[in-house]
Amino acid sequence: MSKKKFGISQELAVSMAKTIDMGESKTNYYSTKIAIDRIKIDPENPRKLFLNISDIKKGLNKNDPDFEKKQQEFDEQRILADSIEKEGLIHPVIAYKDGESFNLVAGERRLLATMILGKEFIEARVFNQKPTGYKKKLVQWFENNERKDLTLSERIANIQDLVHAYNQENSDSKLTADSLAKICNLSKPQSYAYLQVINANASIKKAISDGVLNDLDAARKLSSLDEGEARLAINGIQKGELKTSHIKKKKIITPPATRTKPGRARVAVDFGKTKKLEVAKVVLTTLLENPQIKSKLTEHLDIDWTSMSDISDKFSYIINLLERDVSK
Amino acid sequence: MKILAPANHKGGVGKTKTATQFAQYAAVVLAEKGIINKRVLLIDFDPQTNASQQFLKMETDPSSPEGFMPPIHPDYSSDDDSWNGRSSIADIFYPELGTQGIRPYPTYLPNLDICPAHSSRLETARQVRKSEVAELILNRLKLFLDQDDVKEEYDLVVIDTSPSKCPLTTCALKAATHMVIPCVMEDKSIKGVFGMLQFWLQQNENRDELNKLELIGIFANMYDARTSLHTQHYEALSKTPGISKYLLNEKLSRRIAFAEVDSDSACPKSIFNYPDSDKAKQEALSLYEIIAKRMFNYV
Repeated sequence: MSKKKFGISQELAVSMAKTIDMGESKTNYYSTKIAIDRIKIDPENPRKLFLNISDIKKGLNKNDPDFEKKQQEFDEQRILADSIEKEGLIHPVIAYKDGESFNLVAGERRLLATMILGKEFIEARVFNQKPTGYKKKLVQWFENNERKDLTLSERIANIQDLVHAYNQENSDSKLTADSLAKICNLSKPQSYAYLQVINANASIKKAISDGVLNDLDAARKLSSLDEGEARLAINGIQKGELKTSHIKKKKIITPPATRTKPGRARVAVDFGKTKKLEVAKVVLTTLLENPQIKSKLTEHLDIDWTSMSDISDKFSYIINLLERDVSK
Repeated sequence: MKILAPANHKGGVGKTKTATQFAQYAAVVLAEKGIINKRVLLIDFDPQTNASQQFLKMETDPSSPEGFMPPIHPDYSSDDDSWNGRSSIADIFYPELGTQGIRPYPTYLPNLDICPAHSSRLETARQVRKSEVAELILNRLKLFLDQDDVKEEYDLVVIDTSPSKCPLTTCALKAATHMVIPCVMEDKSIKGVFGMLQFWLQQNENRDELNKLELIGIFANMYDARTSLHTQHYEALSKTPGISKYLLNEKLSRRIAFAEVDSDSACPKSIFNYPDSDKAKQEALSLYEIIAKRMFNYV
């Protein structure tokens, strides 16, 4: 009997190799532990901290002009370090290999906190290639999204950078709301909302960056208002007179100044009622002495001061006169 | 929190064995090394309930005579009206049971818990109509494991998956962070590997940049080095471009000890309690050590 020969068919081998290749291209990083000494801050990433690796290694210098800011940041990092010590590093830092070093793409705070703990290695996701342009912004978007303290302003800035980078790299096909939803793992309404807010007017953007507006849905609704209405609404929110839930798309339900209690909004000024004829007489005679009103009256007004009905009619007559004047 | 799913569409290749043994390995060995600091959770996502039967005295399900359901939970008190005393991972598909929560059962190992299967409920979930699958099934396990209280309690979750290509397997892999593929070095099992690689690719096409499903590797299970069938298939795989870096050198041979520990009356209960000189134990330690190193990145 001839010797048995077993193996994998050429077709299966090629298919498996191709699938692995495609799978690896989708997973373009590997997880590992890297020596902290080999990590550098990516020079292309704008830094947000005063504190740096050298400060942790050598200690803070009181003669440093940024000493107070660095001390404050160190204390904040200390809290993060305690959490990492207790819970472990939940999200690895992100880096790419650059010769013998690793350039940090995201996770500077985690790196500094891990150094405070005196550790020599840190868990990292190391990208096979330097993520550039829109891919880099995408990585930073997912990174930032893990942070619970991320403000709306920071999220908008991230998305704006991402959209800009994508559109630069893909000049013949701009990023649509549907595509944005897919690549950023957003729902379609969220994606539309972000794109709408990115294109909002200056007062809304300022309100977001000042922290007055920190809710995406509210910002989206305000972006549908014109500049004047939006400013009015923002003032109302700042003063606590208007809640964002009061804002419907395209209009504000009630101007904040007139909204004092729940219920239907006033559409006219109510001068009040009185059952006392003497009070009515004082009000109406005071009005009749007003020069603006006097000049409007073409004839003397005969008023029956004993008749509530007549006083009311004459009062309405004066209001109508003034309204006619205003509408000219 | 890391979530490992041993997976292969071919049945009988050792998924359950891998899941239950690795969970025990982590709860004992990795905990001693300080790699695991919290607890380990084993989830039995297979309607056959084999993993659950290793740790719990599962009971026959009156509504499905061939199936099993979890026993009464040790924490249950008969004067508690808020639940019926039984909890299984299948409860994630029944939101009306949501108020009772999913209550893992303790095992004989102090820091290993199990969410047992429930045959009939998992079968029902497996057979949901295509149009309803996405909403009712696919994301449920991930949603459960994403909860803060689960992450606070466990370092590692191991999911025993169902062998078939069904919504349950997709649901498990959607939740997993890592996948390992046990393979018997025979034709059908190797074709099952190809199927799982395609699954892995599909998964990652739909995941965001930082949450990809990482493939730990493919390993030979029930390996018989005396046979040309196994040795030549292994060699052929090792020479397939791209596969070689994923094909682990460590293998689990066909040894009676691996079957013996499954028995109800097994003593010791775990391969890791066998003498250090035992070959089955040595193989298991080598294999799971490499899997753990690739998952937890320790040296």
